[in-house]
Amino acid sequence: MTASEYNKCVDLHSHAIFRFAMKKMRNTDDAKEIVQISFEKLWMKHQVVAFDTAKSYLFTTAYHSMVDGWRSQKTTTGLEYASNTVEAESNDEYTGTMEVIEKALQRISDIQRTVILLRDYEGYSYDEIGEITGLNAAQVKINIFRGRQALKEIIGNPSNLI
Amino acid sequence: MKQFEITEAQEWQLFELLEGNLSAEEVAQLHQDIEAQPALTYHYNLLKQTYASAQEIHFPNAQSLKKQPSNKQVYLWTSTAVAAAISLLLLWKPISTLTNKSSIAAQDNMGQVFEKSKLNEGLEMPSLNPDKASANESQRSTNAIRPTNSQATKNLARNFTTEKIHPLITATNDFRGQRKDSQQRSIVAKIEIVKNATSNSFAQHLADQSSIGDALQFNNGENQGPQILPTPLGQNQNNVSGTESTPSPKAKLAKNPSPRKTGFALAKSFYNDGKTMIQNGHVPHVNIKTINKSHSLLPTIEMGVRLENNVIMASFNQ
Repeated sequence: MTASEYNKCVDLHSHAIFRFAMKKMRNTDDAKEIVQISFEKLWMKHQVVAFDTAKSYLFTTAYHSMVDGWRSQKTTTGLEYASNTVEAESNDEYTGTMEVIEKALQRISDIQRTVILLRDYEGYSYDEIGEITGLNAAQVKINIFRGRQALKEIIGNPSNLI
Repeated sequence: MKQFEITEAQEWQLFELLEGNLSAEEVAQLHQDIEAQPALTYHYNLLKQTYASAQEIHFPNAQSLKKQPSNKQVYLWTSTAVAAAISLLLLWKPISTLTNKSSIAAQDNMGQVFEKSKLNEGLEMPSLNPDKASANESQRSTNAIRPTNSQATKNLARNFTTEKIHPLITATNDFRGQRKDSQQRSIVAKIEIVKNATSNSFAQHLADQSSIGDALQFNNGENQGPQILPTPLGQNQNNVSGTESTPSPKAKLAKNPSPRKTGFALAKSFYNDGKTMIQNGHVPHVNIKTINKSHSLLPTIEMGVRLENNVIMASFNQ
C-alpha cells in the first residue's frame, strides 16, 4: 500500500472506525484513541497490508484494541468504570427508537453488540465479521440472532432500560 | 403479551427474512403468514426495529492521520543519494584508469622531448637507465596498449647494443629492422674476430709444436687474407728432432722475417707439417683440397690434415 492509498483509507474508513468505536466505547476520547491506534498500526504495516484488505485490518485492529482496553479498564476500578458508564448513559436523551436502540445496545453482551454493529453499520458478511472477531460464520449468526432477540425484548418493553 | 408469543423456529424465520437469507418463494410464503398471524406481525415489527441504520458520525481528526508527501520525498532523496554513491564507487576504477592513461601519455610526450634533447647532447635516455627499470615497470603494461611511437622506437633501437631495452620495444618492426642490420654488422665483426682468433690460435698451436718449422703470419688488413711466412726448411728439420726448444713464432718473426716460399716449397712444407702433426696425434686427418698455384702465397686457409692411402696430405684453403 502506498502513502496515497493510505491517505485514501483515512478518507474512506476513519469515520466508520470512529463510529464503530463510539458505539462500543461510548466515549469520544477513547474512540479517537482507538482510531489513532488503528491507523498507526496500519501505517506501520502499510507495505504488507493491501489496499483492498485495509478496511478489515482497521476494524480488526480497532476491535482488538477495544477488547484490550475494555479488559484493562475492568481491572482498574470497577467503581470508576461504573460511574463513567452511568454518566455516559445519563447524558443521552430518549428521543426516538434510534436512541432506544442505542441504549439497548449497551445492555447486550460485547460480542453481540460488536457483531450487530459490524453487520448493520458496516454491512459485513458473516465471514468478514468472523475474521474480525475470530469467530466462525455460524457463531456470528447465532450471536447476531441472540443480540437482536435481546434488543427486541428491550424495544418491546422500554422499562427495561430504566 | 402472551397472545403474541411465537416459537423459536418462527423467530428464526423472521430473522432469516430480515437478514435476506430466504429465497423468493420462502419470502412470499412468510409474508403471507405474517399478514395472517398477528403474533408474527408484532414480532416482525419489533425485530425490524433492531436493525440500526448507520448514523452520520465523522472523525474530526481525519486529516491528522494522513501522511504528508514530503516524508516520501525525503525517503526517495535518501535512496537516490545512496544509489549515486554506489555508482560513483563502481565508476571510480575506470575513471582512475583513464586518468592514469592520460598522465602516462603526457609523460610519454615529455619523455620524447627529453629524449630528443638528450640524444642531441649525447646522453643516455632516462627510460633506459637500469636504475629506473623498476619505476618503468609500472608503465610498461600501459605502454603495451598504446600505439607504437616509431620515432621513439627508432631512437631506442639506435642504442640497443649498449642499453637494456624492453622486450615489447624490441618486438616492433622498426626495431627488428634496425637490429637485423646491426646483427649483420655484428656477424661480420665476429667473423673478423674469429678469423684473428683462429689464425692466432693456429699460429700459436703451430708454434707450440716442435716439429712444425713454419711460422705463420696473417695479414688481416685491407682484405688481403692471411699471409704465411714460413721458416727455412733447415730450421724445420731441426725442430723435428726436438733437441732444441724453439722460440715463439712472433719472436722469430720479429727477429728474422723469413722470405716468402715458392709453391713447391710451401707444398712440401705443408706435407711435412701435416705428416708430423698426424704422427704426433695432434690432428686426426689432413685434407688437401686445392693448392694455390700463384707460387707466392696462399690466399685462403682451410685447416685439416688427413691420411689417405698412407699418404699424409695437408691443405690450407678457404
